[in-house]
Amino acid sequence: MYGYASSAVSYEQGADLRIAPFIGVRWAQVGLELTSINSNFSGVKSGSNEIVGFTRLYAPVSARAEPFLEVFGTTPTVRQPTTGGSKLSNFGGSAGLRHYVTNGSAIDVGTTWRWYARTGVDNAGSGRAHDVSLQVRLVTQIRYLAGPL
Amino acid sequence: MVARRRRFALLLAALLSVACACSASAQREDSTSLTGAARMSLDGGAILQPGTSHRASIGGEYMRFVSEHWQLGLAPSVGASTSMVSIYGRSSLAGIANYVTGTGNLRWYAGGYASAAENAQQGQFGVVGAQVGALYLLSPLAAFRGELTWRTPTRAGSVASWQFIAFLDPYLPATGSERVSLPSDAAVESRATCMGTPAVP
Repeated sequence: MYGYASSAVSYEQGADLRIAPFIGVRWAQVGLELTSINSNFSGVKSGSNEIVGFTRLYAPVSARAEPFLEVFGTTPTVRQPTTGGSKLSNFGGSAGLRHYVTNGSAIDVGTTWRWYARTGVDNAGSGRAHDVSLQVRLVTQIRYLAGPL
Repeated sequence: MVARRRRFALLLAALLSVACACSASAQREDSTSLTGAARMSLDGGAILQPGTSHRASIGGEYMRFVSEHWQLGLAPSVGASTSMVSIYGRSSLAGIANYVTGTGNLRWYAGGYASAAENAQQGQFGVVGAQVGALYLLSPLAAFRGELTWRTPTRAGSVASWQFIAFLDPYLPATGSERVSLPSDAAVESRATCMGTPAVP
């Protein structure tokens, strides 16, 4: 999800790359997600980089509603002009349901519990020991045996 | 204001020229019909931080090929955030139209964009714009898309922005008879979103 107030910045760049193959079975998946956002507001630079690794297990009962459990770990790096840099590693787990819309897309609905392990020396993220989030997301899936156009 | 309108008119003229120049090649019979297919996206979330604040937002896009050359769609989004004392909301609804040309797996397009939005800081405002791009169909269900967008708020004093965006999009196929099944062990999920906003003059 991106929200860029591009009218207020000199430039802003962002990238979010995610790849998550099934590991030989249809009920287990590993994934890696790289997110980077950098901006320059009148010469003042800020940004963040984040690497997320996760493993997800499915109960492959139905394409309509497939339960899943996930564990993840994140190592974000935040760069702010006023506070300097920080690393606010976090980890947690998710639980939810997946619904396949087509053989190339699915909607994930889930709840995530996240705990923060602060390793930086500044104020970034202070006061956050944990949070809970709800997500709904449409994901793209490429199957090796996808049909011809 | 006049200069901005002139730039907007020039941009629209340029986009239409590109579309017309490409349309000749699009007259050929195309074995890969897109009519009825639809690109879609959905992304939402809510973060609950007990004792501090909560944030929630959801947005999506539905772009359907109503013919081989026209793709029309809507992109709604809503969001809200709360602090200890206040609630801030925002919402927007965009309409998008693209003229698409090309054959086979590679298609080119140019189109227009208009949206109405409201948020607590800026009140109500509109945004208009245009985009050019290309999409490469990996299968009937997924395509890579690269798009250059130009957007400008309609209120005086606002600054236009340019962005380049790259996506891997899921598609609903034109025919809805496909049997949906669980993935094999050879499936890969992927998401690629890259964007950049160059310097504002």
